[in-house]
Amino acid sequence: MNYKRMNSEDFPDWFVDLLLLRATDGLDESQQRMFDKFVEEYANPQKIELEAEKAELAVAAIDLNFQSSEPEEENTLPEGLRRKVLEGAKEHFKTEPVTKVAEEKVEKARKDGLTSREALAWLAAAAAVTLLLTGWNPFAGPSPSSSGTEIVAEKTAEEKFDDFVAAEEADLIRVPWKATDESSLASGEVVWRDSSQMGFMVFNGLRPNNPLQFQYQLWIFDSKTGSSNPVDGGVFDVPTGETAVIPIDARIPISQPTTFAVTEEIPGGVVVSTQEKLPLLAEVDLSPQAEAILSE
Amino acid sequence: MAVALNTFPLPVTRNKAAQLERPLLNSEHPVLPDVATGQPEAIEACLDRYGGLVWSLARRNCPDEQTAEDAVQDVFIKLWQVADRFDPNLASEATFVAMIARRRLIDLYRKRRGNNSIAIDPETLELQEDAQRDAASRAELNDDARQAENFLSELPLEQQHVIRLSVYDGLSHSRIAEATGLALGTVKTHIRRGLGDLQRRLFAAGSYDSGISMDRGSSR
Repeated sequence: MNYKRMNSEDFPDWFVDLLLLRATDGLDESQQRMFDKFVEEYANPQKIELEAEKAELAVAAIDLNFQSSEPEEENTLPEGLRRKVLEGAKEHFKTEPVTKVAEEKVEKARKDGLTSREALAWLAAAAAVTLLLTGWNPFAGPSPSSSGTEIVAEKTAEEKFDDFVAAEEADLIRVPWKATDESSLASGEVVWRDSSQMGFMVFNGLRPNNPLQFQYQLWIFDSKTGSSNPVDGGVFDVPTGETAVIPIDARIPISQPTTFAVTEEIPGGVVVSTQEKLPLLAEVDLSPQAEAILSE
Repeated sequence: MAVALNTFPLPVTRNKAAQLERPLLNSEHPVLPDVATGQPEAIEACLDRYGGLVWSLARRNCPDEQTAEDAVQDVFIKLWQVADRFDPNLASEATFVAMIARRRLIDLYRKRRGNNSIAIDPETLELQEDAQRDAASRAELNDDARQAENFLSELPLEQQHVIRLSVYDGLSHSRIAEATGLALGTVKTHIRRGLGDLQRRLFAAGSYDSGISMDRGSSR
């Protein structure tokens, strides 16, 4: 994906949705990955940070109105809890926050007239120190506890698939693969969520490939881009075994998928497929190109 | 259950906070810059000023009182860490504190409470109606909050209700779709347009002008 050409006022709708979802509900793991990926590739991440914070502030301002209308004594911090918070503050401020030092350096860099690049380097250093010392990162995903870094084993594709399917968002598209060759035993399904722009393919009985000879490639037909411009959904291999779970790697945001198609291509994949070898299709809505292919 | 969206009256009373003689949360000198340097008096003042706000948010977003107490401690630790990031040009101090609290509560509890913690029934939505009325009165508490409430009340009714269900009741977009009978895409569009419009007006009313255009065409 190349968002660097995009104007900063030109965030795609799906990313604006993520910004607002982040401010209202928070993002789940897959949405957070999508968010992080966009930030990573966007030319002006500081702009995103500002917009993200503005969305959060706007929602917070709305939420302020909802403060309980209970009697004030019930809406006051209990004394015991207040004492605990004060003790926590004493512990916290026992050591001088080093982040201040980094910030002072940034300020000094600005005053000394350093180039914006040098100042940015200082800012990056300050942000890194802030992150190291406080664990605060405006774009960080959910942290299960406040007790420092936790090392979590990377989930398998199967576990990620299970999490993805079980997630709360209701816009799950789930369609079975159809083999284009009636004698094929290949089956499985494809799952996709527009909201997170993520999905998985599950294959049963699709013949394993030798990556030196050919690789599989996913194509996503999107109603917005038209039937002649399917989106590259990533090149992948199918290992030997009963079931393969492959994450979808769409190269550009998908607006409304209508058909998912798997082709066999030269190693590394192709930019435009001739669709000569197209073992599997999954139709969300029966699109003309799917109808044409299936009727051949 | 689908619920007609035009059944909620708009807020009417606007002087309840004044009657309760509650202080304006942003009427005083900001304390967070001094909190950032660990000044004990500033920390106490911060607790005096925002302890109730954080406690209220925590109780609303946590499953029980003990969890809410733990959350309050966690939120304030986070606040001590980021106090130096408060920018009075961007929002009031109370709004900043509420943002930090919400961010932490969402991470800790809110999105884990699942779909079933809030029943979607007429009683729940009636409570929301009450909350709407109360909101206007409590808007006296804070400039940002008052402006937000004013801008919110000027949005189309459907957008208002979807945003209130999302922010006040903490319903997921899919749950809102279920509750209102609206398509999920429509819910997202209402939130994108409504919150986008509100955000733009809120920051245009302050020192910053929002540079992002969120009000673009309807989604599917």
